[in-house]
Formats: sequence, C-alpha cells, structure tokens
Amino acid sequence: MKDFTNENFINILFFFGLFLLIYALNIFMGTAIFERIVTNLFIYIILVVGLQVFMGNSGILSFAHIGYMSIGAYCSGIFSIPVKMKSMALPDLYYFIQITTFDPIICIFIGGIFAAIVAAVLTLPLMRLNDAAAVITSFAVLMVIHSIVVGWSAVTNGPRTFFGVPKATTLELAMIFSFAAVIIAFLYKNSRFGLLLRATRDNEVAAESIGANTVYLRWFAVIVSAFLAGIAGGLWGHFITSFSPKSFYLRETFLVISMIIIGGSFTVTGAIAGALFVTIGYEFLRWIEKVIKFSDAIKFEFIGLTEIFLSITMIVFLVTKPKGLFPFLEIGEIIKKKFFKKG
Amino acid sequence: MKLTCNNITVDFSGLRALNKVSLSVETKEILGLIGPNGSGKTTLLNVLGGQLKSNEGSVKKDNLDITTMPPRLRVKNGLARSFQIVRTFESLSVFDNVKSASLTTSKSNVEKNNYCNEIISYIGLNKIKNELANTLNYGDRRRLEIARAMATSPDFLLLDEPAAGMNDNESEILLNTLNVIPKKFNVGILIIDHDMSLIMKLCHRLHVLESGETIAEGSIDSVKKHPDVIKAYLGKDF
Ligand SMILES: Nc1ncnc2c1ncn2[C@@H]1O[C@H](COP(=O)(O)OP(=O)(O)O)[C@@H](O)[C@H]1O
Ligand SMILES: [Mg+2]
Repeated sequence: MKDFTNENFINILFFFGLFLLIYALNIFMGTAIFERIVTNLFIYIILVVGLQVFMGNSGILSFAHIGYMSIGAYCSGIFSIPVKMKSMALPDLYYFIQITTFDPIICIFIGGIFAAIVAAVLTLPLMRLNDAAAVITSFAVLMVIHSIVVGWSAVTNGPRTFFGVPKATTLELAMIFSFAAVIIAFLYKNSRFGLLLRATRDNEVAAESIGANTVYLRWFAVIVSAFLAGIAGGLWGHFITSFSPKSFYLRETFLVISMIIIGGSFTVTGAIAGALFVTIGYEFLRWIEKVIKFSDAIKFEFIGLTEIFLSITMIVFLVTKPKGLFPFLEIGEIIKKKFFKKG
Repeated sequence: MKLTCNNITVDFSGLRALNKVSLSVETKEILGLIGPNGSGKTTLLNVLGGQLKSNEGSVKKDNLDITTMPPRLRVKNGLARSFQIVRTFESLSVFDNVKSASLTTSKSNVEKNNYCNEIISYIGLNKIKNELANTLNYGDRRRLEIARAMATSPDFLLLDEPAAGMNDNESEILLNTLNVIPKKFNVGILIIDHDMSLIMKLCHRLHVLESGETIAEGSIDSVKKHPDVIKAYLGKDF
C-alpha cells in the first residue's frame, strides 16, 4: 500500500529537522553576518521551492519568477511604509494608499496574493505553449514586469531606490514562512493537480488521454508558484528595507535557476538542496575573494569570481547530471528505500 | 453501450489515409482492427480517441455525438486508449502512472487507491509497482499503458499494437489478460495488432482495412475466406 500522506510526512519531518539544525547552528555561531546569510537562505528556499511548484511539475523553464518576487516586494513595501514616511519616499503615491498602512506581516500576504493575481492574468494565454516558445514568453513576462516597475514611478519610485520599508523580517519569521512553503510544495506535488501536471510534463498527449487539462493545470501551478515568489519578495523587502528594480532582474533570475538546476527541478528536495549548495558555495567564494584581496597576493581587483563559479557549476551539472542532485526521488523516498526495504 | 464511427475520412495533405470508414464496438465485445502497414489503423484509433480530427464523418458513443470532443472529455465519457509508440509517464512510478489515470473518475480517494491496486495486480505489475516507469522493459511498459487506460474506468478500451515487441510467452500472458477484461470490467475492446495468432484467439469480430478502405468485416471465419483479404495478405501466414 502506498500512502501519499505518509510520504509527505517523512519529507516534511526531515526538513523540519534540517531547518531546526540550521537554526541551532546560527545560535552556535552567534554572529550577525551568519544570521544574515541564513535568513537570506530561508528566503531563497521559498523562492526556489516556489519555482519548483511550476517548473518542476510542468517541466517548463520559467524566467518570470523573479518578476513575481518584485511584485511581492514592492506591493508589501507600499502598503507597510509608515504614513509619515510615505509622503517622503513616494510623494506622488495615490491618495488612498498614501493614508493607509498595514502591519508588515499582512502586507507580505497582500504581496503574495497580488503577485498571484498578476501571474494569473498575464500567463493564462501562454499556458498552451511548449518548449522554446514557453521559455521565451516567460522571459518576456519578466521584462514586462520589470518595465512596469521601472516606469510606474508614482508607486515604485521608478528606477530610483525604493526606501523606508519597515524592517520586519527576522530569521525566525523567514524560517517559519520557508517551512510553510516547503509543506505547500510537497502537498501540491502529491495532490491530484500536481500528479496530473507531472503526467503532462512526461507526456502531454497521453496525459490528455487520461483526462488532464494541461492549460488549467499549468495555470494553477503558476498561480501557486507566483504566490510563493511574492511572499519571498515581501520577506526580502522587509529584511533589506531598500531596493530598486535592478534588485529583481537577470542576476537574481540566473541565481534561482542555477539553484533549481543544480538541485534538480523534479523534486522539492532538489530545489532545497540547490538553494543550500549555491548559498554555501557563494559564501565560501566570497570568503576566498576577501582573503585574496587582503593578502595582497594578486594586485588587481578580483570581482566576478562567484558568477564565474556559478556558471561553470551549472554547466558541469547540465552536462554530467542534467536532472540535478535529486533527479526523481524525494529524500523521504530515498530514506524509505534505504531503511525500510525489507519491512 | 456502443461506440460507433460513421463514414470517417482523413486526408493528410494530399494522402487519403481513411476513406469513408465505419465501424462499431459494443460493450463486452472484442473487435480486431487489422490490415497491412500504413492502411490507416492508427489513424482511425486517433480519430476515435480524439487525438486527430477527421475531415468527414462522425463519432458517437450511444446517442452522444463526440466528433468534436477533445480527448480529456472523451475519457470522462468512457473512452481510454494505449499508444503504438509507448507513452508512459517516464519519471513517475508504476503506481503513480496508474493512479494519475484514476484521478478524473468520480471515486473517493480510498476507492481509487484500491481500484488502482486491483488493476496493477490484475495486469501483473504488482512486483514493480514502486519502480519508476523509465526503468521498465518494453513489455512491461506496454502492459503499464493498458493498466493506465483501465484505471480511467472505461467503457471502451482502444489498444494500438499492445503485443508489439513481446515474445511468444509474453503475448500468451497478454492474451489471457485481455480475454477476461470485457466480462470482468464490462468493457468493449478495439484492438490493433500484427500478431495474427493473438488476434484470432482473442477477437470476436474483425474489421480489415487496406489503403484507408474497409475491405472486409465480420466473423473471423468469414473474413478469413474473403478474397480481398487473402489478396491483401498474400504470401503471409493467415
Ligand atoms: N501525421 C501524419 N501526417 C501525414 N501522413 C500520415 C500521418 N500519420 C499517418 N500518415 C500516413 O497515413 C497512412 C496511415 O497511417 P497509419 O494510420 O499510421 O497506418 P497503420 O497504423 O495502419 O500502420 C500512412 O500512409 C501514413 O504514412
Ligand atoms: Mg499503426
């Protein structure tokens, strides 16, 4: 007997344990820098796991994800900046938003919902597309969102820095949201929508022949995916407190995509593993960059090392392990196969 | 129940793949669709399953006209199929392949799981039900397609060369499995295959196509004696 809920349970329990471990490690380290890294990691886990909901289950590479993140960040910021601050930060803001302020936590949810609505409206006509056409249009969606964010000065302060967002995101808050995102991703994957969407990913013609409605299955996944990206954006905004449209563009898109490709997009475990792998690699390289800089071993500026590393790692993975670190099985299934085989 | 198609004509840019073909299958019946390579058998199955639109003609299930209905809605009306070129869900387990097909039925989740397990055992995939489909051999994949089609709780099962690539032993087992399906599950089967011994033992009735035209139909004995069929299969063991 295969029991879906049971499998979810092992997976979720595993990541609950892992998150607690990371949390304990942070207390043990006790530095502000480490706490910052770990908070960022948890936010990135929400982003990548959110991307997995659509990309992993549908098999379609999406470049639009960071666009949805920016919607969450701006939206949450706009509604949460204190009224007095607003007249300074966003003098041209529409009156009814100018005079209202909500609690940042509520605003983070508003951001997620708004990102989901924008995704729903923008992408419905695109859900028929496959392969290259789907990828290119997702890129176009990113550009459209970016252009709107840059152009809509009254609300976003245009290309200039958007500031005054109240600091609300703590490590604990990011961890709780991150854990909730992991639960959502597992439940989604093993729900009827997730299973049928994975069937369309493997063979669209056969999936339709057993009753799958590819367009709506993909659309629903995009909406959940964008919601999580919006939440991640809001959390990040309330962590960093000032940002600009540049913060949500190609560099960040490349970062989440490299995470999911390295970890393996078919599994939630892979998405989390990718976020961990890239974060650790990134911080390690930054440390090396610093050591090199201060040791005066090399006289010229040493920037871009991390980007080069990320690109090469992704290429190596695409060539040798195209489905990533966790290609098909979730950690729970691996544990089950290893330890309960003869049970 | 009855699945009928009437005067089906299909043109592929100049080539007439089917010319005014009509046939029908009833519940609990096994109809064999045979004919040389390229005679239009798969094309006809695609028209019945909704994967292909015919240029002329209609498809009906009982009194319901399903000519323009997309495949995903035909399933809900009791039509399920397998494919000549296997189309299993490669990265899903055998169980999930079957389970996914049961999702659009109106059973409760527990009923679905039980029904899927019943079918998996019945088709003989129980030992490998937790394996990923991409690890299966060819014969098992073909059987998985049948199990998946059965999981939709169909009234009619359309099978495109289910025995292709199977050895004698495997196709013997397949014969025994298919033989029982109509009565046990209350299903009508339309089967295409080149394995004539399987077809002769399994089918109640035959329909023969050649170059997109019906050249004979009826009982096995009458079809065997038909001069056009003998000509079409000239030199072949029939
Ligand atoms: N998509 C297609 N486009 C053009 N011609 C096709 C297509 N599919 C099938 N045909 C042609 O239609 C004829 C019937 O093919 P098919 O139905 O596959 O035959 P069978 O299954 O009996 O071997 C063949 O001549 C084949 O080449
Ligand atoms: Mg064929």
